Amino acid sequence: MTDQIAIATGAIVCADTIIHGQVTIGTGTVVHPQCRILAEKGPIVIGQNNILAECVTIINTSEEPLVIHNYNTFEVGSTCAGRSVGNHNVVEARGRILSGTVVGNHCVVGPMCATAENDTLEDHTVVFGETMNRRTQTSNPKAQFALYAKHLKYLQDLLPRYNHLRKATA
Amino acid sequence: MSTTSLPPFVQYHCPCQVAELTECTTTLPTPDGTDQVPHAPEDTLAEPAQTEMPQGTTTPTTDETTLPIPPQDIDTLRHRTQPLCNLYFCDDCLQLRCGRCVSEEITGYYCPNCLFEVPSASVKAEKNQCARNCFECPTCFHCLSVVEDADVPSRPASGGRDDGTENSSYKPFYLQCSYCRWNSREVDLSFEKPTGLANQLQKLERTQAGQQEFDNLRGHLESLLRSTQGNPGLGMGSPHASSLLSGLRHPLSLGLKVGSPASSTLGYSPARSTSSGMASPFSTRSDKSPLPLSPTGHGDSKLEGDYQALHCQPSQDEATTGILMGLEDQGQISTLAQRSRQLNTPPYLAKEHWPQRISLRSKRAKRCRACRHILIKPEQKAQVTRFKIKLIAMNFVPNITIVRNPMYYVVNHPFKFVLRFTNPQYHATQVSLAIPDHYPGRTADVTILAPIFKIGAYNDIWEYELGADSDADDDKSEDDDQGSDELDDALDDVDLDSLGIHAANNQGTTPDYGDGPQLVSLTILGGSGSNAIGSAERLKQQRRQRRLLSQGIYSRRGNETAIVCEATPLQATSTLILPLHVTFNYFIEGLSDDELSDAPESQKPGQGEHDLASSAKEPQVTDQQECSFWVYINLGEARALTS
Repeated sequence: MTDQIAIATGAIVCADTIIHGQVTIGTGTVVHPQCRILAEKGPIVIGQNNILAECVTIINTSEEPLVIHNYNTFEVGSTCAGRSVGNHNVVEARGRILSGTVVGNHCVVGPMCATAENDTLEDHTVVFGETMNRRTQTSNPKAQFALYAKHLKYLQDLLPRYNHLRKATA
Repeated sequence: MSTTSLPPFVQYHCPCQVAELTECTTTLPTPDGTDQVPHAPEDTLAEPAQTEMPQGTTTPTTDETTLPIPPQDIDTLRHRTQPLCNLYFCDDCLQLRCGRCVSEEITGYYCPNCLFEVPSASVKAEKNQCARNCFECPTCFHCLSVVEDADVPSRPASGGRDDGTENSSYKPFYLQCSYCRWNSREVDLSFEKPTGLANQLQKLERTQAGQQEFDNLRGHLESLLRSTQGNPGLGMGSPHASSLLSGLRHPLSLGLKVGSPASSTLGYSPARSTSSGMASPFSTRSDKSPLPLSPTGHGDSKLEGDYQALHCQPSQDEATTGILMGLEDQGQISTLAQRSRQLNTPPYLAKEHWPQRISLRSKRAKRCRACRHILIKPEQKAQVTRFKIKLIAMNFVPNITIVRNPMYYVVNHPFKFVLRFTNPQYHATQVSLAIPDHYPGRTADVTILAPIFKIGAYNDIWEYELGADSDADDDKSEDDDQGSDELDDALDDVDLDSLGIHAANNQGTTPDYGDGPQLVSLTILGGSGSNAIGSAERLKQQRRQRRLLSQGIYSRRGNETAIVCEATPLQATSTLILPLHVTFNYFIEGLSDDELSDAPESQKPGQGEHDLASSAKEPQVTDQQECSFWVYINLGEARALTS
């Protein structure tokens, strides 16, 4: 499969990343060094203003496209192999979204936690703890969003200073 | 006998447990003299029994030579003995001390989150919990953090009526768990200011029925206690006092935990008219007057009045049962762990749980129970993890490890194994070993080829120097090479190969056994540059190695000495356990008691460089005493020969 990498202007994608297959990265998204975005069969579409920290793996092994919407955070070492990810989700360090999983909005996958395969996370679900407990969060999304916007702005300023970037292609 | 075979281990026996065991006064075969002449196997064990120790600087107490019967059950043994790292060493009694024979005293309380040291006077009033800003999540027990609501940018100080808030005073601060995203707004808990949250929470708690009831009961009991103390005729043993307390029995037995459906029946309220004063909180009444007593203290009508519950809370069992029956999501019901952390009222529903203040932790000092000597004393400060006094056995007692051991033993076949003794003291010490001739459950004949040997002093540099040589008496005889031929002959039975043969026979034994011979070659390779010096060095090392082996010493370097022992199992067993009596010399510094306590850590730098010879010459600086203890060595499995 030939690489068809489309990086929107305004996306910060470091050069030290592995990107294969048909991948689209939306504007404002920050991709740290050592990330791997592997579209092995179907395409991967990453929306706007997402943060992919170091060593994040986004992999699509199915024919279906893997769509990640906007304002999601993938912390260090996390993996996403799901079907789709909504908006404003957080995958904490070394969290895993297993294949076929559909994640709603405002969900949190805790550190070292994983979803089941072909699972569905309803909106506001939090997966946490050793036993992958689930609960529904009620916290104020606005407060979190303000913090997230600051974080994103900081990364967008900082990363280009110390890393080579991939050129925008779209 | 347990069928599972455990990996070999060395466990130390604490003398406090001798009393528990049925004792078996076994006399030890003591190795004769202090000479380093290699003992033939029959010399060692066929020695007539003597109880006196080789160098009688101090006479060991009787229970040291008394062998506690080695438990045949491996589980029992593991309970009665300890690994060295669990033990303390009392340098006054010169005995090992385990966790069971020390007494603990609390030296300070602190909050594990904010590391605030709570004065012990206020610990009780604060209910052993942090009274500042530290809370734990009721769901996942993680620490909560205070978050300001960004919704309302400028919060009005009073009466700020924003569009979404119904409260007249808007409270922008709340607690949030960063792990499970629980926040205190789920239980309608928010704060006006971000400091002193515990106080704000306590105000809320005080209005709770359970808390009020507790305060009321406490006030009642305290006034009762005061009145009985004031009058000796009303001692707690007197029939009158028991009649006073009888009124309490009913509500107490029903339980005071308001709200838990099983015990939410504080609805015990007989007529209140008898003692209306009881209903007021004790803080107001206790200062003014204790319960009025008649001069004799008997027959007071107010005292006769029973305890009056403040609240009459109807049973909610049915309502709770109804809710529980209607549950659809298992996440709504709290787990047992979550419920047990809710101190006042443990509700069934998870959404009713409140954040709890973080429990305080304590730092504890440990004392020897026999002599009240302090063994462990932590620093007062919560931040500091050091100890003022730390008499742990690892710093004093030789550490015994099994270095070479066959995969398994075969009954009636002699096998050699190697024990390594590591000296943690800054002085060279002498170790003497003994194994009793007869003891119950004896499963093996054991021969120690070097029952008395020396170990070099511990030196911080040893840890960096591979193959460093502390052998002083070897150097003296380094020149007499002519003896090497007959040594070679003598070596044939104690040779390195013979140690390896058993390993080769028992397939699968790990090849990288000990470090004795290998280390010798390592030092040569890494050592001198030129070949000539290298070969001379190698010859010297080999000669030394052989001479050591002829003395039953497998290797000696730094503060470690490994000795060769021989075991012949008498019966097949899954755990071949040997009792071993170890005596070593403990050096007491010429310091005052306070300095003595942390002597192992704060040594003078020069003392580490003592070798055997020089430290032996310096008895004026230190006092030397003999200590002894028992260890149990599990050598592993002994099989009967099937072929």
